[in-house]
Amino acid sequence: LNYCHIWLLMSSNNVMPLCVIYSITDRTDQPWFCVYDFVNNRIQSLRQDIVYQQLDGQEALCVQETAVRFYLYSHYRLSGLPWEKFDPKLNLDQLQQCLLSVLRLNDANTTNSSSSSKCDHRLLHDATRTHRVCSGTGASERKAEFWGYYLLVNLGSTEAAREVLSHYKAKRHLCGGQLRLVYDINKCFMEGNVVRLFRLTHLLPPLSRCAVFLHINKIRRIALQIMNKAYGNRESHFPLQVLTKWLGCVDLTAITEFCQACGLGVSEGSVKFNTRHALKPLNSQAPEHGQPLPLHCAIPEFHKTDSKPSQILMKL
Amino acid sequence: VAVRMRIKLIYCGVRCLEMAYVAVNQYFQLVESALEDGDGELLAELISYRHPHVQNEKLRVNFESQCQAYFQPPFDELFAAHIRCIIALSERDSSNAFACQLFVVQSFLKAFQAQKEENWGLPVLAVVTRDLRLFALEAEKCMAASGHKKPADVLERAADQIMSCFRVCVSDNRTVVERSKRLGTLVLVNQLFKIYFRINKLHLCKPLIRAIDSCDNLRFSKAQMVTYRYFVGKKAMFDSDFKKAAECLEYAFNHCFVTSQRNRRLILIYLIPVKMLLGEFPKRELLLKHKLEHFMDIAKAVRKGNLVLFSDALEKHESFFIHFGVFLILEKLTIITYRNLFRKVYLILGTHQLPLKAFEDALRFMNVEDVDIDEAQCILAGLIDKNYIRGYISHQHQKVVISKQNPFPVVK
Repeated sequence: LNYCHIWLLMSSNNVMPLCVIYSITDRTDQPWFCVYDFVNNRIQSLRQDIVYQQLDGQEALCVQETAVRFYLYSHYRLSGLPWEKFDPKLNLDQLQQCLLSVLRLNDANTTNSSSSSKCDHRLLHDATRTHRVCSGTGASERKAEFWGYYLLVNLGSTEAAREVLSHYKAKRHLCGGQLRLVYDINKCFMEGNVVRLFRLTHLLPPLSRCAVFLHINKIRRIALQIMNKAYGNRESHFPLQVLTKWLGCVDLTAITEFCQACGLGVSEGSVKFNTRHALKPLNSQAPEHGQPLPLHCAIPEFHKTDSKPSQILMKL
Repeated sequence: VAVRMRIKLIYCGVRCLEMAYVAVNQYFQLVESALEDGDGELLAELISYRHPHVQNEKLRVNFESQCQAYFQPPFDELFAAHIRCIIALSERDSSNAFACQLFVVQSFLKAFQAQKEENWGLPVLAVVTRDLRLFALEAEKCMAASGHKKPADVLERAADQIMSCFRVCVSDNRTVVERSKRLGTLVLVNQLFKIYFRINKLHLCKPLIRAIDSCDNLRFSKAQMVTYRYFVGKKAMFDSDFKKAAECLEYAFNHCFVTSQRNRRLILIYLIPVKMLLGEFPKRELLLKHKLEHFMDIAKAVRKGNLVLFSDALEKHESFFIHFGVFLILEKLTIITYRNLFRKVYLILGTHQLPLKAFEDALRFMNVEDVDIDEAQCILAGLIDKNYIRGYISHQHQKVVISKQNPFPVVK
């Protein structure tokens, strides 16, 4: 089946079973931004169906959770493409909306533990069961997972951190190791401790690392700013090799590009810090002339993954 | 007039509790005289649910016809709703009580808005909006306990109504100051602050703060100013504007009524962390006096640069700190703890060129998990960037060179 056949097959019900969404993300015969467009379209339809049917139970939660994972992964996979192929801001807006829906639905489903299913779409109902079986995690781990995404997507926000803490009432209750890890990453970001931040990030599962990737340039720039002041006396030279490790870059080329984009001189394997010269602001807006977004630097371990997109999305 | 004076004298002579048992007519006559004389203070008392007339069961019989007999619209409907609210309260029906009180506020606002160049109704507005907020809180708690999906709606509705009252007051800018309704804005703003903090919508406070800050020529009561500064200080703290937070919270603490122990303690819970971030630590006596021993170990740990004691102290009282929303602010003290620890390293080694290994060892000694020399450098770099240390790091020589003059400036 090619792309168009699947569309026609599903267009009668206007519903895309979630398991089909997952398998479509593995397609390699099309450029992945086409896959993104198609799946994004289907997710929007599902979300509209949720609104029309006023669903707020497990089916709605299922769709929104899938959407969050999909948008997180997509941002990592496609940022660096020209704006007309992928709009990171739009993707981020949709991610935020779905994330807030997940948190709200989790809250509502906690207070109303027996929510009767109002869904009259058999495919949607069946897909929910598939989603739960495939995900293979309990309710509390899933809630912690999405609180983790919320904190990472809003990295550095004291309000988000406060919400997590007031939800769990105590730091020691942060369910499972992962949410505690995310909380510590947020703390490292607020303290400017990038070495520990990247060290902890490498311990996160792939999708959570995608969430950190949303802020990768901001984190690295803050780090360079701090280092420019701390190491910048009398134009000192700092080895790029060490900087690559500290800032979680793939290779020397990536870190060199980044330093130069920030206005720092690089030569003979070192970057020159100087307190008298301020760093250039990074241009993270959509480029005006269709040029690709610069500074696409992957986090090393994730870059080396052999997992298929569907495996990452279903957390297998 | 003579009859009204006699009734007022009788009222003053009657002890409070007796109001629970006097004839219904006397209550209505008092209200009528308050309305006719424009006596806002008396009317506020008579419409408050803290007043003993609320216990008078005789009031709950045939009240609709009595209200119509005594009062002109909208006060007839207003007092009918007030009595319905009393009945709802006696039946512990908080949702119904809230709905009735909402009607009371709406009706009163109509009458209040129609009073041109007068503001005698301000005490009444303060009381009815206060009661509206309290009933909304109670209704929200009951809804949340019974598993209702949107308990916060009731507080938002209360806020919307109080905001309508605020708009009426704030737009009265052509009347002389003494009779202007603008004198009532601060009471309403404080009510709104209490709701917005409760429903965690702090961004809605900003336009209110701007409105009050532009009321330079108005003199508000000290009690209301203390409440206002408390909330503004708290918001500033959450916005990480610690200097402003300290200024406002200090004002609130210094001007708070001396016997309001609960309020003074509440102000201190926010003032102490803010002051610690600005380098000032609370005295032991102050903490003991206000039963805030929770901060004692934190202050001691930060001063001594003891990371172990600091994290233990945070963990020991984390539920208390999280409940009041100060946990994250206290966590920010980690950086100052690092600064004090590193200052000790400098004092011990007695040199201005300090090996990075010494800082790594100090952090390891303080049980910082998996710390290495890279992280030690990173933390040092952060301290230099924030001007807690004056100096620079030489990666080549693996040393930090600190200034000979004032290498560890006072934390401000």
